[in-house]
Amino acid sequence: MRKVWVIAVNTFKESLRKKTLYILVVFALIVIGTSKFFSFLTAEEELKMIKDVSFSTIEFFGALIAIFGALGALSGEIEKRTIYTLLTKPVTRRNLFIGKFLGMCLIILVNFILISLFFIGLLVFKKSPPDVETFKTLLLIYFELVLISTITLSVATFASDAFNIIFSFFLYIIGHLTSYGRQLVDRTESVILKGLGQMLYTIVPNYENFAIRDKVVLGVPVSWSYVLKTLTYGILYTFIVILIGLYFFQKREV
Amino acid sequence: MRKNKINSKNWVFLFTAILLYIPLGFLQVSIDYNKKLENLESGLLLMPGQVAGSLVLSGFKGLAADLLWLNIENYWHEGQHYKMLPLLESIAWLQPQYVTVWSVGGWHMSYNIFAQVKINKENLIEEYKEKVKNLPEKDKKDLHNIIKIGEKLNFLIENLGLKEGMEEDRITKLLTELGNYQYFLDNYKVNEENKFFIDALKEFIGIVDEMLYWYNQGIEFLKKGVAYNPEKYDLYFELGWTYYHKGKDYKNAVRYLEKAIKFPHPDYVDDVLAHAYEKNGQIDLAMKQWEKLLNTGFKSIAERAIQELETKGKFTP
Repeated sequence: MRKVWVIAVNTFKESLRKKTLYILVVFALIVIGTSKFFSFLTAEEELKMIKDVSFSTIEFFGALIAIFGALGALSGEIEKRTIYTLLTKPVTRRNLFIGKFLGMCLIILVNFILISLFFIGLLVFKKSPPDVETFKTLLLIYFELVLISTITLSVATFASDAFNIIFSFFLYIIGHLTSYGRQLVDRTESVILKGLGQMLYTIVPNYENFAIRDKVVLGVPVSWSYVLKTLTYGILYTFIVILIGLYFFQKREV
Repeated sequence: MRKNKINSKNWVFLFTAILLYIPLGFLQVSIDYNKKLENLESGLLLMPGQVAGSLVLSGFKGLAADLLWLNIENYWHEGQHYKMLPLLESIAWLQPQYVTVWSVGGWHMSYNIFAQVKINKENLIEEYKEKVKNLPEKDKKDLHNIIKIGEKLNFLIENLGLKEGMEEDRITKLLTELGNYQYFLDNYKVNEENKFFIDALKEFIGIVDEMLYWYNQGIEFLKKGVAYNPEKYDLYFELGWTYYHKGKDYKNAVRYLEKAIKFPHPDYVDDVLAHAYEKNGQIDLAMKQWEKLLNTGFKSIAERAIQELETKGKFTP
């Protein structure tokens, strides 16, 4: 466990040295900051817009950080051949992979907290302090980002960076469309298509589960039961992806 | 030997991962159930514009709706009212629980576009009135029926939604009346000199017809909004108010305002309902409604209303 933690901390420190992440965070803060200038709208609309822009920015830039961070975490070690040094030490591939995963969770968390604090500050400044629903939304966004990052990390064990970027973004979009796909499948009369659709619906990560932000902004209450189920979904899916990643990483010739 | 051991362990990872998809599937079913229960589902939709489309595809429906809303603001300030309509529809589809868009949309159709129809033809109306005024007496006699229809249509254009009500049965009657006028004008023989009057009246029929159309469109838009937000007072109130204020359709106004007060609501909803009861001839209910308002910020108005209803039997002008 100590080895895993050392790798996690190193991954985190290494990421802190990357300028890309800082640039993304700064961009995110700028975008959230600009939402303050919608003061020509009525107070209610302005607040909706601030929340919409902020949640979307946290998620979008968070996804970029998650994908690009995870992309370099493992493939960087392989490209720079530092992985040989690491694996000759008493560090197993499993240690390395899980360490990288935890390191990514830390990076996402720090960036996430930074951007979220700015957003919360903005809400307080607008005399509309965040409620429980806001925190529920943020919590789910964080777990979505962890899942996105884990998928990129796992794909990095068997595919090139170019493929990984395209795949991760494609999956991000598809993952937000699964609910629509489900509706289409429900209308199909063919049993085979229905079965295939249901299988795809289960296999593809349903990012739409985490996207409660649109509803929260409109004042639709979200139950703790839903949040807990979605968190369990996120954790379970992340675990599955880790297992798949481990399988391919063990098999990979480095 | 060691490599074989690793390989067999490796298969366990993959096998466990595949196996875990089973509880994941059940969990998804449970989440879907919650979504349905808590109204967290997204509707299937088609979006205009590439930017909005791509935002929706990536799960940023709220942001797409906001961008469209900013366009609405621009069109609003530029006076391009008709351009707002597809945007309002799109936002409503994107975020059906965004009550503001339904209420603004309904109001926009029933009030602004309704008025715009008349404004667009103001020059024609003025020209018609001027020409009728300057007609020689002989022509006035010849065109007696045409002038009468013109007066009726002008009266409707001026007063519809103000002094003239648009109750459901009244709209049906008006539409029949407009059809009759149209038929009459189509078959009216007139010399080339006076053809302008026939053409103008046909335009006037179009104006009244379009005004009724937009009033109904606004009502329908609000009703659609109610279907998506049946647990909130807002859109019931908007519907009730549109019926009351614009349509003078007090029966329907009472119907929807009564629904509005079943949900948490501000006092002014009770106030409008009290007026609607009175206008609908339900004085007893109006009295009871005013009594409810005695302990609110509407106290002084309520006291006056009760007194006047008791003495004169009428309070609302």
